[in-house]
Amino acid sequence: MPIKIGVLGTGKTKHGILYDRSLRDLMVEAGRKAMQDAQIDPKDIDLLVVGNAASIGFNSENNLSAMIGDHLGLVPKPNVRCEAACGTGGWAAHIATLGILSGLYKTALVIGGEKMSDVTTDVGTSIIAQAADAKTEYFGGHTFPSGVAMYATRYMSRFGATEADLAHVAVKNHYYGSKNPDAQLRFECTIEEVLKSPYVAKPLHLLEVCPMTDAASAVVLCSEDVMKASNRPQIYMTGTAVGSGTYYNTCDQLEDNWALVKGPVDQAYAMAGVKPDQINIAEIYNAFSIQEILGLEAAGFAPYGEGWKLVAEGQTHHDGRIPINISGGVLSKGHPLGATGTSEIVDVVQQLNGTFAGVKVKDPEFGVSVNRGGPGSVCVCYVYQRMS
Amino acid sequence: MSVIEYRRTAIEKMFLHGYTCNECGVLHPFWESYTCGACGSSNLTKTFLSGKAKISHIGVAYYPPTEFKGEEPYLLAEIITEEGLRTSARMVKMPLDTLQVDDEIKSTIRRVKVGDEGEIYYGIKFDKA
Repeated sequence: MPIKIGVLGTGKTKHGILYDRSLRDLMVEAGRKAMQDAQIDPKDIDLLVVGNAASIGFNSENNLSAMIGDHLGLVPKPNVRCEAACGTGGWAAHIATLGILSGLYKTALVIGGEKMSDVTTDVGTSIIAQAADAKTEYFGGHTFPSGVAMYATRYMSRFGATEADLAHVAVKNHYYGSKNPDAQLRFECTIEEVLKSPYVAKPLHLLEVCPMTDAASAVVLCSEDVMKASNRPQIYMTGTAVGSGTYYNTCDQLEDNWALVKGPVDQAYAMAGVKPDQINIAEIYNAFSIQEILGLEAAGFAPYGEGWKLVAEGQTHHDGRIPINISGGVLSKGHPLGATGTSEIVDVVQQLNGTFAGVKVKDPEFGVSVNRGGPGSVCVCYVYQRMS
Repeated sequence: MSVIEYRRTAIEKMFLHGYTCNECGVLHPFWESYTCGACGSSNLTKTFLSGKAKISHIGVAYYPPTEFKGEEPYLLAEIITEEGLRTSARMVKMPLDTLQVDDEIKSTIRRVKVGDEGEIYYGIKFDKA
């Protein structure tokens, strides 16, 4: 049976290397924008959930939800921080949905945020790598890109895809990112330019790997009765599920990555009573090009092993059969770890209510978001519906 | 990683081993392991591996974390051990184009990194057999 969690308001900051903005600057901006969009005051928020993956490493700050609650005037309302690697934002929203569905809370403000540019790239890589087993894998020099590169190679050898086929993902995402005023990497590129960019971890090139990003994004979620009583566009989360997978990059095989998404997205579809062919807009986690391909296959938009053809044929463009990552995705929009999941929610909801600032999908009714994280350790899915 | 922490885990890092589930027989990779991912049993036994393996897939890290700066680009590989365990391996320094799929390799003890105060951390890497 579908759940009905209203998305009362959304807000986000620009994504980028924002040297003059602090983590709290970004999260307060996104939170205020979401409450303003929802047309409610802080006193009407029952719960604050903050998603942040690594502020202890990036910013030497902890107890983040208390800090943001204080700065947003939400004291003495309850607040909690959620951490689940790149799946943090999605999980933070899931915590809020649990609170609302239980009847304990009527409204919840969910803010995902990350400030990554206060450290150099190699230090940032170290912090991120510690989201897999730091005591064994990272100790030997294994990083996330190298782990993903392994199953990219496996995918290519098994299904006949080439580096050029994977590059189509980057070309499409950078095209749409160039049209998104909030994206970090706002440029277009060609297949040739992707293939000429240096390897980060062979076979993955620089232009098909996400950047480190400063950004925050937020949503106000609410119960059905609060949503109906508002004059806001009636956008609901109607299905959600969370799945888990391995904590180890070295165990993160191709099949594991497919299954990691397949389980929760099928559960979310079933809960919402929706089939993949009804979906009009999808945001699918794509820190690396191969992850968009595997994600769209697991989400039911193409058979296993054939997703790369869908991308190469242009079927994932805004006017294609299934528009995917019209925001530019993580590849172009940027990957502020804790804010990526909430950013997906914001972008799908804004497509559904027609306020998205980049390229718009024509009159979408159903949406889905897939927020995976860690080596292959977590995946949070939502199905959305615009109702009259 | 502190020296104290390394002292606690050095044995684990020096001897290539996995954990065999005493219930279903599945062999798991070579870190501390508490639960069998296949059947859920917590009855596991440490199993030393021969160190012989074959290359399954090859990867190269071009942008390393802080501790490995200066070593890039370095070779990583997905390997299948003689015991049938699929895992990944850091290769010893060698030209990038010298490694091929299906090459036979063997484990060896090498310097993994140097700490902030000059302390040397050793661990397992793989070399061509």
